[in-house]
Amino acid sequence: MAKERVGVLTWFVIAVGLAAFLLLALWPGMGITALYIVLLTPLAAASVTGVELICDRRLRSGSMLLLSVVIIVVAVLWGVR
Amino acid sequence: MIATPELPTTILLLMGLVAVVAGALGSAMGVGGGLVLVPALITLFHIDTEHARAASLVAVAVTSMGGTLIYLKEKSVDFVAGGAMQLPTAVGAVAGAFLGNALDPSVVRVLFAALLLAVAARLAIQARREAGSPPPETLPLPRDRRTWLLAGAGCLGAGLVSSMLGVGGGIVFVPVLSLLLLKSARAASATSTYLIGLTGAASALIYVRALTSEGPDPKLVAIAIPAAIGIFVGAQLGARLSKRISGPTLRTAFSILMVVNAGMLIWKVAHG
Repeated sequence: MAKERVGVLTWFVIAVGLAAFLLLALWPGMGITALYIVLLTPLAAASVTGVELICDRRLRSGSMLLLSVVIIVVAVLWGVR
Repeated sequence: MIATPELPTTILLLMGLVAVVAGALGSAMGVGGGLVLVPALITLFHIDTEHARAASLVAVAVTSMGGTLIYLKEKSVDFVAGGAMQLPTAVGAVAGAFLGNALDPSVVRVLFAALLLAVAARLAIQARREAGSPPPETLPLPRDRRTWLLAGAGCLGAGLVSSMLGVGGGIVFVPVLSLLLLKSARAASATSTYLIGLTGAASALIYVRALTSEGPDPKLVAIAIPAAIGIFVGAQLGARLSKRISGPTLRTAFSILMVVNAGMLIWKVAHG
């Protein structure tokens, strides 16, 4: 993957997530779905960036980003009650 | 559509307007709208700290994503610094959410007031020093371990404060990135915006799960959606506003607003 390509897929994921939020936020009964979509979008985007960085041979930054996502997912699933 | 008996449409519209103002001021100052929104929700709309904080973090995440889209297109985000700093930031955010849920809401309000006063002082000092100093140049990332450890510690603290109090954390991220990692102001703002998106979303997810653990929470949806859309719109206006009004004037006005907000929060803690 060429260096300047990092961030292209990330941009696409964020754009889709934001568009889905704006659409669902105004849709009756879909408010909580809209919230979850918009909050999961940065996690998806960071995962994509991590993979993009690893493909670009920037292993340390990419793996740290992916590890951050794992920590957050574990905290959300098993954490605060 | 999202109104509840407790929060009718008129109140939600007013809340949306306040969020637009918060987003505009926060964006013009580069500190994010949460610093204005959280005190406004608590003092003007009598929203409890838990809902105000969760709604603010949703708004922070949405605004950050909007900003990140622009910065990604410009290719201003530094993924090497951003990727490395995301790990301590995420750990701080998770720890902050644990702390935020464990602390008494009045303690959180007092801490928030302290943060507002600290931000007010920093902006007032910056307004005095700002007389025509040239913007910093872009320099290469430092290689020494100590600088990266310091930056990591700064980001851990920023993640913790951001998550616990429901603000973006840009007030810490930008100085850490621009001073310690020697990035240009633009690259520091872009990378900070990118970091804030994941931090805000992570903390908000933890709070939203906690608030909805015993069933749906229509109040959360009713507050978070106008707040998020309002701050998002306000942030776009704020970027234009900052070009029209001089930096020192804006910073002085904003620091006064922060002191007033801090006073209102303290008053609310004292009088319930």
